Amino acid sequence: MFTPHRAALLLLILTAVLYAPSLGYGWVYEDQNDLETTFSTTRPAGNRWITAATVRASFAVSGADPWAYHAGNVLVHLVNGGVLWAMLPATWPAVFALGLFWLHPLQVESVAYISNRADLVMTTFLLLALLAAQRRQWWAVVPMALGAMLAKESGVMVLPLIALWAVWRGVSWPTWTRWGVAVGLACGVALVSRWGWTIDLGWTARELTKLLWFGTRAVGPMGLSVDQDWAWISPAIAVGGLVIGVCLLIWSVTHPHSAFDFVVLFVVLSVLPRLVVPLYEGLHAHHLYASMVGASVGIGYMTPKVCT
Amino acid sequence: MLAGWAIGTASLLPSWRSDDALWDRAVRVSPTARALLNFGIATRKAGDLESAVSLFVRADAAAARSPHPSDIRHRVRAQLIWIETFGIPDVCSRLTVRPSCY
Repeated sequence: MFTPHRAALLLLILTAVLYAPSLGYGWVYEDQNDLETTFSTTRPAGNRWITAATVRASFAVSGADPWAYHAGNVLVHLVNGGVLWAMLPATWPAVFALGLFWLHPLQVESVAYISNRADLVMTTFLLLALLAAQRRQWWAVVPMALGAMLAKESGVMVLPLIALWAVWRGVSWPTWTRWGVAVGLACGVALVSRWGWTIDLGWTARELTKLLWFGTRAVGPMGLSVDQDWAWISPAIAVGGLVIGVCLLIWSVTHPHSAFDFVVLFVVLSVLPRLVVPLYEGLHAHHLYASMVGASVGIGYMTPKVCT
Repeated sequence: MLAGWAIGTASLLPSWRSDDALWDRAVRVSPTARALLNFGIATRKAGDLESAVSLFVRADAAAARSPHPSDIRHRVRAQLIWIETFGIPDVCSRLTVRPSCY
């Protein structure tokens, strides 16, 4: 009989086959530059200790040959989908959600681009933290959140994301975990402060407009997005994007129990540091890898009755 | 929808094979000045200076036509100065808008 579990296994095989050609690909765009600086095997790794450790593991396997780095990215992507499947109910909507996470073209930039290892590993810890919260293993949530922060700075949002998930699922959590959230957020603010804490409303409006554009493209196969020319976002368009984005957020906060509103809040929270802190690099498709967890979880928890 | 996403992923993935493939697709999907500039840089790094110059000249022309301000024309000039210094002489004169890149 064709059960959801067997369908998930089929998706696993399909995803592995789809991404297998990437093992023969070379270094692309900022790969070598990033390996020399952020992921250097000889220099300090900055905040990204865990990511650097995984890159060093790839280096130990293939040295300067990129195949092990690509294999590492594909492996982490498959593991992330596996953890996602472990936290979803074994239903057909969950199979669809898993397919969204594993197969959507928006994920290509994250998986095929070696430099994006940080987002992949950070999302592993996000998923493990969500899984721990779902199983009421609260003692594991804070270490997982800390692991996410040590994979990538934007991992500071893992604790607020878990809080959002708990509220959405109606999960009661022990009082002491609130202190964990407070300590985690304090660590996060300290981390983000190292980037330079300056609020620029124009930047936020522009990045929010880009996020809306990605959202409209996410419903179908999308084109290349790396280093895209965003010159079409004039100040007037950015203000329009800001207004639409804020209206969408207000509407979502006032309807916190529907899957759509959970997805909207999850996506915005997961990229919030990038929306509010002006960095040298704006929003790209690979920054939305963790956001896809929210979309998949939102769909995965739908009951079959809702979908039919 | 799953089949559509899988096909989309399979068609998008080869563009990450190399810098050349990445920017070739970027220029085909969205022939903006920035995409042309990045394709030119990738081509220069691959050692094909003539093709790189052609892409930089196209990037400069696209940036000149664009109503949106950007730093692309300055970056094009920097690339052409590099090529003129280390490779092909007098490339700056190929720009559509004078004065020259100096």
